[in-house]
Amino acid sequence: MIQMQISSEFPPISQPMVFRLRTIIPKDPQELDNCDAVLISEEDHFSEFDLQGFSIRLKLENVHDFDGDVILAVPGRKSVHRLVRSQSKHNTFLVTEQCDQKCVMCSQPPKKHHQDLFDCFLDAVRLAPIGATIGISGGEPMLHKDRLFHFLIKSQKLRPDVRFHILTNGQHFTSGDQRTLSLLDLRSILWGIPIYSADAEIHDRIVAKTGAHEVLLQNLAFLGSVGGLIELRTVLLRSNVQGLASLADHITTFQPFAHYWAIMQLENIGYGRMNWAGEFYDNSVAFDPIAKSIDLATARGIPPSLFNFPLCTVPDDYRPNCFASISDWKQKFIHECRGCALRSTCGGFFEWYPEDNGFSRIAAQ
Amino acid sequence: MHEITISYEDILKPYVKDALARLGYIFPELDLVSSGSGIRVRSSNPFDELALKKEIRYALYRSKIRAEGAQNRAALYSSVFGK
Amino acid sequence: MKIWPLQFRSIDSSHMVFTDDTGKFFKASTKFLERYATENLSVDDTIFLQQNGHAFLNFDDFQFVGFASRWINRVSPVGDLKYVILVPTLRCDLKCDYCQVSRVAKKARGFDWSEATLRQVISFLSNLSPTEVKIEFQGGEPLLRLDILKTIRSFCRQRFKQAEFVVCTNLQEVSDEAWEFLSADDTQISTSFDGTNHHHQKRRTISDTQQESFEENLGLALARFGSEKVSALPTIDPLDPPEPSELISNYASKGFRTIFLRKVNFQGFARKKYSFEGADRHWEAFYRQFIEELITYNMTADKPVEEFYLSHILRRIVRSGHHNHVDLRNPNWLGKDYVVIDHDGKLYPTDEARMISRVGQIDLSVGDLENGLDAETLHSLNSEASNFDDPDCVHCVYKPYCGPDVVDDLSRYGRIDLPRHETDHCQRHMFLFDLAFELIFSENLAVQKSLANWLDISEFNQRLAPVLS
Repeated sequence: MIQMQISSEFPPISQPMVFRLRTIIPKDPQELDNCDAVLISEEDHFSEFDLQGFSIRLKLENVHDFDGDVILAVPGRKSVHRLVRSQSKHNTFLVTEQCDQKCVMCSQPPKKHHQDLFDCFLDAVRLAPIGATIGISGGEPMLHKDRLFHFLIKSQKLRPDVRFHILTNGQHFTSGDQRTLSLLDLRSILWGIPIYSADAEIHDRIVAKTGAHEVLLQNLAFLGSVGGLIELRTVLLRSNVQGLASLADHITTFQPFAHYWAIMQLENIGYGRMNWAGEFYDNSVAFDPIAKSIDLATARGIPPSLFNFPLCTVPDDYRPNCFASISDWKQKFIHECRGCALRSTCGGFFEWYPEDNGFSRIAAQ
Repeated sequence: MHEITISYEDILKPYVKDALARLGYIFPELDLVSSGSGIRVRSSNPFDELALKKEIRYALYRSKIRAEGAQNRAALYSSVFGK
Repeated sequence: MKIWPLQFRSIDSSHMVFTDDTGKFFKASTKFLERYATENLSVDDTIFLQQNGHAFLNFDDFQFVGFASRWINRVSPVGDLKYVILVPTLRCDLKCDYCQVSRVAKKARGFDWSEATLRQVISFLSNLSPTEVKIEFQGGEPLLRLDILKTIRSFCRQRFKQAEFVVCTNLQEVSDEAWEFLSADDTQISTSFDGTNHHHQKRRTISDTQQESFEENLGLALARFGSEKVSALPTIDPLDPPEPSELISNYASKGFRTIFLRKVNFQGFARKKYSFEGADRHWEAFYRQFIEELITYNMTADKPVEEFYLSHILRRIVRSGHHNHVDLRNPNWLGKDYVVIDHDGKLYPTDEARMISRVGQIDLSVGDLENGLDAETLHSLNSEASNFDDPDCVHCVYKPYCGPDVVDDLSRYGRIDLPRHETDHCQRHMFLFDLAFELIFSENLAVQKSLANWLDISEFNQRLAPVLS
């Protein structure tokens, strides 16, 4: 597994802060940022960096794998967090753990406490590699909408090359946001918004919030009409699988402005683990409802992507829809994957996928 | 001379003028006039009464649908192209 | 609840197809029309209309915005000029019976680009703003001027980030040097093959030696490059068409997956030679039979085959935003995203426009290399580019899928204000749309299998053919 938390020895700090690791010192000292921590020495698995005259010691496996990474340090925590990995496409800022929905599959169940790290995130964007895509996630990031918009506007001023992928439940847009959104370059922001069913009652039950579906449809319409790029996301569940084709019908009819539609397999973590027995739908034995939805949406011009579906659980015809979506740091391959010819293009399994309680048909191809 | 009068419901009355203009252009060989609560058709050649009745009804429907849709279409254009 | 205006058309004695302005459609009984037109909708009707996207409650609610978005997707945008058809020579080594392009003899003089014209073409191309370009070499027989093709291709490769080339050749005489040219990855071959060797020889190659050399070259091209790189179109004389099954198997056995049936065009030399009395009826009968044979073929075929134009029409019916074929789109902007440069440096909005102008019937050029595109002429042609306000089209059930063809109307009638239903373009397309809807609402499994393939999906889905019962 890829190291995300790093043991550290750190001078006391009173505020959260970010810094960037530099293991190769640039020839031109002008290229060094105030937030750059420069490698001084490596010994006993600990690497020592110099940050503005302070010493930072980090326990790193192979220090040069960390060059250009942006690190977040929070007061009172022994380890520091690898916020931006310069070599990875999967970099996500967790804005908050608060949420107003309580979805049955939530991988990151909400917490009450909130710590505002937007200033650190802004530094991290400034230090991110050229052309990086930054995921913004939660909790529900839009609960701190003013701070979020402020962060996005400033980020785009500093780094117009950076793209954002914001995961939001879409509950918190208002028509008053139109002006703020017009200040943003909406072409480089993708809004990932879940929709679980065309049936309001089923959707509301899945997200545990009455009236959520109605608000969602209205806000999708709002975001679509101001030109936001939208990725609709539907986690496949036993409670919505029979309505999936209706949802395909609904999306192509009422959200034709959506740029992508992702149908996602369930992740066995958080509430997803708690509700696994009742909600995990084994598509390896019955793919038909998904097939029908893919056919309908594709014919109408929105070909869905399948996220988190191991290739061997999907019939041949639909494998081109599969997307190796599981981030490298939480991905695994299992015993059955040994010798599989498709392994290099397959997304594999979540690290926490329960091998004895998951797909019934897994086979090397 | 062949002649029939085709009646229509009151609800279609406002659309007769528009429909007649269109029908006259589609069937230049027919003489079509509004008369009372019907449309009178005259022609020197025989015509298929049933088919014509249907065409006339459909023309009335089309005129009504188009007229009634005008407001929605205007709303559509202003939402798409700006007010 | 407000209902978006619905257009309708009978498809059998008791059923009709209904469409709204976004092209969302459904089948219902004629009784529904009565209920709809006389404001007596049932509860089931209103539920259906809402679910299928034909109604809304408030301006700017999600149903309204969904409709508006689908409608916008139906409007073909004005694109940058990045598709240029070049005619470096009008000379040709064949004299096909129904030459579409008005060619001249191989040895004729004065029908090739001059050095100066070539320089002007290059300067024209260098002024294009997009970073990608598609160049189609037409003729005459463009391979007769391989030197020009080479110059243009090298120039485009260095000028544009991405450049694609199509050589429309009769594959009659292909030198080693020409094969070498055609082998490049960025270069496609487009040729004519009239479906059977007999028909091809009768209309095109005439002599046995010429026919043999064509067959050999087509075989070589397919063997070397495969059908991904080589395409062919059959030109069909409706009064003497090949047997559809034979045409299909001849194309399929060569590895072609797409057949674009072209009715012999009512232009060029063909116009002088053929009488077209009743040809339309023959064409429709042939076309229908061809599609039926195709469906039968696809039932058991490993690699299904499509008729290009019908697939285009089906895709336009089922999805919005499908504007990639310039023969049918709305608005059909002329002289905007593609243009033809003729052998004499004149600019035309379409290849058809070039041909009509050549027969001297009407001048449809829209400028020349010297002075560039003539904005005034383009403006007047484009004033009729859309069917939105056409007094006939506004009532037509197929309006959302169709698009005008100003050039065709001008070529046939010398005017563009004819009642639509009297034009060839309208009649031809009504036939095709009727056929398309007949297939969409068919319950025949063989039909559905072909439909799925033509719509790029694995299996046809009943939801694609909504029925209000």
